[in-house]
Amino acid sequence: MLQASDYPELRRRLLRGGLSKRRVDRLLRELDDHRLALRERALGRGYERREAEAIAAAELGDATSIVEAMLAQPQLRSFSQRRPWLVYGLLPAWVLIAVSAVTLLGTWFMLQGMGWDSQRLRDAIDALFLFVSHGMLWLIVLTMLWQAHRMHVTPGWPVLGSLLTIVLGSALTMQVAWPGVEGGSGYLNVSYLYGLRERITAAAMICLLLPPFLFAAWRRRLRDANQ
Amino acid sequence: MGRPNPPFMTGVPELLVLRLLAEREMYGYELLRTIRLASRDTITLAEGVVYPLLHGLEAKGLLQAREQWVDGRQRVYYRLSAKGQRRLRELSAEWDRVQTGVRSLLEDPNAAGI
Repeated sequence: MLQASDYPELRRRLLRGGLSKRRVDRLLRELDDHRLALRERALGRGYERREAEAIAAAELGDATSIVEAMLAQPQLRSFSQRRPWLVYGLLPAWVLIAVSAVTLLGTWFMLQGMGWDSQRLRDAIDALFLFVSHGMLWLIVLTMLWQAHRMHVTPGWPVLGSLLTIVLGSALTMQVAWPGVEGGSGYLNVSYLYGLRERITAAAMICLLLPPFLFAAWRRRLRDANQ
Repeated sequence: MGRPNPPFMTGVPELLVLRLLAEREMYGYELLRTIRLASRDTITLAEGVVYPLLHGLEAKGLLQAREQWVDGRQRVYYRLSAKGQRRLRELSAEWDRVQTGVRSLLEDPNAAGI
């Protein structure tokens, strides 16, 4: 017996099972449309509104059958649920490398076109490099952990992916050496050095980011086990 | 409520859905009513469970879905894709083969000379 009041619980179970939000919301719209059609049919047969609601809910079936039928089909699960090793394990580190490479290439082409002498351009590039070197790592890891938490992914791959990205990203340094004389050329530099500062950054990130995520995952697991 | 479907119905809902959607696009409720009417109430699919079937077929690329607003409700219409048409041909051929075999056995179990 499926009523409109059961939709939030049904939605939660389907999302926890790994279905994408888009698919779950569409399914709920379809079920609601179907329920209303069944209710209209019952009303057309002369039933009272409340009876018609009950008939429609009974005919629509129960939430568990729908959840089981949906989750029994792996092709319905979101890409990140079918390949967590790729999305949470490898993709974050790859994104970091790709962003630094694209930033470097984009900057190089821009400097070739506009020259090295504009102070405003220099300031903008310095700020961009600083952000890619330091801020991007936080942004990627935080986004990935948040997404993993939201999608109810088990913590294994997100934690491994975070460690890999933190180790790689904390060693990333992007610098520009500006020319000493007007009209001269400088150079762009990307390096992966692992000194004391980088080790401290990596340790701080691991201590700050991973325990809250693992704690949230553990609590969710405990809550699911109790239901 | 019609009689429950027999246990050997596995795979038949897919065939029926593909066959009906080969005629024209339909939404879930319409599809179930059509199956019921066309089979003269012999076959009834569970109302809510038809959607997992439709979603599964869509995810396999056998169906295409589009959403449309109708009377203030967002309705999802399904139609057969080119891959779905190929699948329908395969399933129909398979069904004919099984049906022929079962019928010949039921009509004359001794035809094989056992």
